[in-house]
Amino acid sequence: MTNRNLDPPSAEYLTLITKAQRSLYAFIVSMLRRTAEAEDVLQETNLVLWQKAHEFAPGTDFMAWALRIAQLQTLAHLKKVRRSRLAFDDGLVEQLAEEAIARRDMVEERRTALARCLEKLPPPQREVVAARYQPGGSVQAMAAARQTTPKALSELLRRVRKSLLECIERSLAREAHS
Amino acid sequence: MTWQCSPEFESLLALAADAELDEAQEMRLAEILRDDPAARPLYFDYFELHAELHWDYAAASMAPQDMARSDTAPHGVALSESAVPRWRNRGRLWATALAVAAAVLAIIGVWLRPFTRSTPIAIAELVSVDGAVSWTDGRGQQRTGLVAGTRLPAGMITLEGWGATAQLQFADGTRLMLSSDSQIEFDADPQKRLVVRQGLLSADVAPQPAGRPLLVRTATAEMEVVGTEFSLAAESDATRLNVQSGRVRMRRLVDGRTIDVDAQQAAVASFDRQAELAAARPGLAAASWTHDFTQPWKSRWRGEWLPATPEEPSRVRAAPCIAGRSVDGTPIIHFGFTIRGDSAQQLVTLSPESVFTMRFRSAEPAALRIMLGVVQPNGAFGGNFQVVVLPQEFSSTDDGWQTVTVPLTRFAAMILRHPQLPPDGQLSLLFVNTLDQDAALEAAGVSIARSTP
Repeated sequence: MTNRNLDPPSAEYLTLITKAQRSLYAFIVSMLRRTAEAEDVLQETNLVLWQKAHEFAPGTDFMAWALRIAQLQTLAHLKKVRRSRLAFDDGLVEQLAEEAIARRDMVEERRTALARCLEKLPPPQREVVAARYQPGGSVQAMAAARQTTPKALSELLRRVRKSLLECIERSLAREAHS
Repeated sequence: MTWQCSPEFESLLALAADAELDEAQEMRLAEILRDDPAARPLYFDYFELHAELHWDYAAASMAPQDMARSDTAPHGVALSESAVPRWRNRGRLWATALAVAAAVLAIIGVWLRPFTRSTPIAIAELVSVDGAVSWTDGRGQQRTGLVAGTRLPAGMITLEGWGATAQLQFADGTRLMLSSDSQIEFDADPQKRLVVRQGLLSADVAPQPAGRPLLVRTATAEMEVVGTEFSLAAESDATRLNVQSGRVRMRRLVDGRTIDVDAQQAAVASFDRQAELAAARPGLAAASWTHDFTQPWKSRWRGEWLPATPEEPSRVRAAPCIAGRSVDGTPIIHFGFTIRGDSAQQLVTLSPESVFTMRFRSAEPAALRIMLGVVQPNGAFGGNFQVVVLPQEFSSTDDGWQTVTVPLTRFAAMILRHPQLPPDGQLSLLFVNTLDQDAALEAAGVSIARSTP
């Protein structure tokens, strides 16, 4: 069953878009590294997904299809903002996109592991994570509020992120062996 | 299994996640990713983590109903076992909401743009920020303590305090540099429109689409910009436009007269319809300048002006001034006075041989901070410079007044992009203060002159 161009997307299609939001966002962040820009590109991607609903064949791999659209929107965004193309040129961005799409099946497992790992963080570290990732959070703002240096805050965040990543790896390893 | 990568790579990843990466570091990060296939999975792990954390905490801040849990972190984010079900619940909620919305709009035949967050679209990015910079959307929503990298929707940017600067970049590459006490509004229309309520603006405008020039409006003039570099100083009763390259069409609002201002030319538009509206090469201010406070105080100058009496000379008394804002928005108050150049003429042409002198007194000993706002001869922003002078450097006289003399070579740059005084730099603003100490500073005379060998 395919949607005609002028029909609104089906409830099933809407569900697919909704379920894909976090993965699309994670993919775009890994391409752009800037979360504020990633939000804009995600909105643009959603608009295209909505407009191209009639092109999607139900039963095929929606996530792969949606990630391709996100990849194109990301490249268009990079061209628009005239970000330095000397470092992350089109070739590198496309290579990263291909490999990110190839590992999409791992994202859900890692997300579940992250939730468990966050619970295991000591309260002071959870507080640092919350302060950094709340809207408007930044290393500079946190350093000023805590009367410390941005460098010290960055080091603390580095240790917390590494701790979370190692916890995720251990969790996945346990799952693989169970 | 542990998550392992080289300290250098991990450091670059952390800097990138916190928007602290400079260009050289970005190139190094790209080089590692290009050359080392084993680095790329680690890169994805890192940024997927970054994205997940940002998603969870940003979403939690918009869902206060989810925070009524017994096990919450200090910032109110639920970090218990509900962390996983929360986003799943939100996913089902979104699917229902989108389906209902789609059904309603299908009936009236209108497409709705699907949303992930109810946030306005950001259309510009703050490339750099110094001092107190805030943004409002005109409906009461305000964001303070802005930092470099902040993306902003349409609204008004306000710079408070003499030393505040901000550089804003739009998606087409157009860059705006704001400095000092400035307010500028921008909208989200495809044809860019700026309203400069007050302050100093320098712009590097990318070529605009045909038929849709950038429009800049002040209290007294409207400018059309196709693609050029220009700067303007907007006051309540006059606008001074300097064009560095290209051409700007300027229309004086009081009578609709229009002129074209070409590269290396300047023009002033005021409310005086009798004044000539003409573009000309700007002249330099004199090499020396003295102000003895006998002249009337101007509206944009700060400080309490005290006219002469039989016992006292004309002088200015320091007044509270906003020097910036702390992270929570609390204003930082310094005590001082400011003198500004006007739209017709800046105060003085500076050189490394220039010397600042001031006759003053204060109720208690206090260090003096002397700050200079400079523009280039073509009107573009030229940097801010400052020096702090301690009381032991002051010279006292018998009449209770003191003198301080400081060569310009002692002034240090406040903005890295402008590390040195530009050749023939024009002084556009002088700010003298006792920092946050209210020492009842009074000045009876200031001068800047070239020292004689």
